[in-house]
Amino acid sequence: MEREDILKELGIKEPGKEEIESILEKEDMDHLVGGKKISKKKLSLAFIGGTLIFILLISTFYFLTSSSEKEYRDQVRIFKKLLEEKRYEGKDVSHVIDLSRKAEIAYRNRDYKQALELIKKAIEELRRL
Amino acid sequence: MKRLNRYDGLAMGIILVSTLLSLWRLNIFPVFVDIFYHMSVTKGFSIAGGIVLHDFWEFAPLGRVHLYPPFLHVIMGFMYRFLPMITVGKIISFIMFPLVQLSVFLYVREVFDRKTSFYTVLLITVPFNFYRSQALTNATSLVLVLTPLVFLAVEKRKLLSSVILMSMALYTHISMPHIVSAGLILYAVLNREKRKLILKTLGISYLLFLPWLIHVLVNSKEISAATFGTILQSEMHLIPIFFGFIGLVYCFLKKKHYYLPAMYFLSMIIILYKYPMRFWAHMALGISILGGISLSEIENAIIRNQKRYGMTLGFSVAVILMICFNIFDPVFTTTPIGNEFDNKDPTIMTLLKGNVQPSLITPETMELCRIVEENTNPEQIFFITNPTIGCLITSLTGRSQILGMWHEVQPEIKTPPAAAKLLIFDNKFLDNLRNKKPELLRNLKYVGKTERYTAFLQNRPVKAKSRIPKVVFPEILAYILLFSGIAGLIFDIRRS
Repeated sequence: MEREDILKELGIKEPGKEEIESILEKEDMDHLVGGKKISKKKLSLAFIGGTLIFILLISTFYFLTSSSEKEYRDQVRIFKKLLEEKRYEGKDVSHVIDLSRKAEIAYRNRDYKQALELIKKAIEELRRL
Repeated sequence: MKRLNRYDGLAMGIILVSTLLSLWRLNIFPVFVDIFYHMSVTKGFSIAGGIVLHDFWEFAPLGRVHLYPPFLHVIMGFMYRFLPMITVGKIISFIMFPLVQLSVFLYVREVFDRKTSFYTVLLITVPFNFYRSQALTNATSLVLVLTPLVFLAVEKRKLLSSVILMSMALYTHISMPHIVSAGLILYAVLNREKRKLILKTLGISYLLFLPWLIHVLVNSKEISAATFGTILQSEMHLIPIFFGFIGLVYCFLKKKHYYLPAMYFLSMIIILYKYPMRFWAHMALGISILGGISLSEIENAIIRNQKRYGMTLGFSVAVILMICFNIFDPVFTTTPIGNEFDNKDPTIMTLLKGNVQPSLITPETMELCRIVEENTNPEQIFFITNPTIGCLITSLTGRSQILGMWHEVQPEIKTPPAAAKLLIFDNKFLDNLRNKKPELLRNLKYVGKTERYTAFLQNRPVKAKSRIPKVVFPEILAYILLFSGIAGLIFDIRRS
């Protein structure tokens, strides 16, 4: 980094070379010594690039590991909570329970897509009640 | 050496707090299983009187070829001369995390700056899975401790130190040091100034490593090609990874010495091929350096135009981030059948709460050691259904076991348990045996019991005995070499 740049950076008029080094050390600005000037452009580029790699990594792993089976189990949790609420309100939930039983049978037969569809339908029905 | 400033104070504060908390939780050490393998190797070397090329303490009576590089076991062997084996295991398991914090602190501070070094220490302390892996995978952990020091020696153009440190790494673990070499080679390709020094460092280090390398290559057919875990099984600590990726791109843009951490991180991706699960823990070293670089530059960019209160503002940002990162650790975990986002406790918080698995050194395992020691002679073999506890028993009693750990290397032959003088069955195994093959229990004499295990002695005479192979490198010579290396390092550092 140029002497003038350092002076400008620190807002100091005309110190000697040793003085500059001493100020930089004291003021936690050793990143300015040895030409390590911050480049805003490079940092912005790195921020965009790094964020893109990060999103790419997380989304790849997310989609590779998302499965109908897990989603079904998540939906069952929602279903159970809703069912309890509706029962507490005194609603007739027998036809919804039929749907959930069918979904459970499909799940046991490892037809996760069918199970997911049925449990979602059951949740919709519950919400309508 | 740069003068200490307030960022150094913060970094040292983190190291001190995590170390003190580890000391407070000393009962969790040695963590989990790997240390028992290393303790048993140390005991084996101690019984033989030096380094041997054949395991006689595992898969007895025939054993198997010994391929594990011996540096860690030489250090442990030296400690074992003055301390009990359990204390040696505890120290080795406990010390690796503070050591990696210190070594990365030194490298980043001297090659980059003090602010970057603080952020690096902060990020490496966040993921508890890295803390755990440092306490667990002891030999790999030692390589991770040595890696930043190798980089520092290379950057400071200290050929002797870089050769000594790289050779130490090569003699510590069978695969991890080659990742360091790969990172250095890629760096040498991109940075002409350091090319010659890196080639000299690697050339001389591999020449020094040649005897063990030849031994490994000659017996390479004994190494299993199995992959451990699946690539979809991951634990991503989002804060270090996010800032690490920004740092990765930034290092490519900044070039020169910024290339080295980037190249090292890229080389680490090879771990995904063989040990996918371990990658997500070990990567913390590379990703923290990169994250430290990006966080420090982000802070510099924020305070750049703040003339009056810039320094105070920057330091306040650092303190706030330090507090936040030690409270929140958002983690994305995946398995082949699902994934979830969760907020886990960072290392310091986990140690503070004490949510950690206790050590396998319990009154029960100590009782098993007593039973084995009292009922067998030194050359007699024992069988236990859990080979990890078997290694622990071997390391404390010196008796060889029928099974063993580190399954990457095949045993000469899988000996049936009947060859053992003493048999220790866990209770579930014993129930199965009673139901399915009760005749196998007929010639056994009950000698002791713990909560989970029952021990029997063979009534019939047992001929199988463990045989100690010839020592290829005497213990005393190994210690002389160890201290010569340390003396060489001190000499090289003081020379400047």
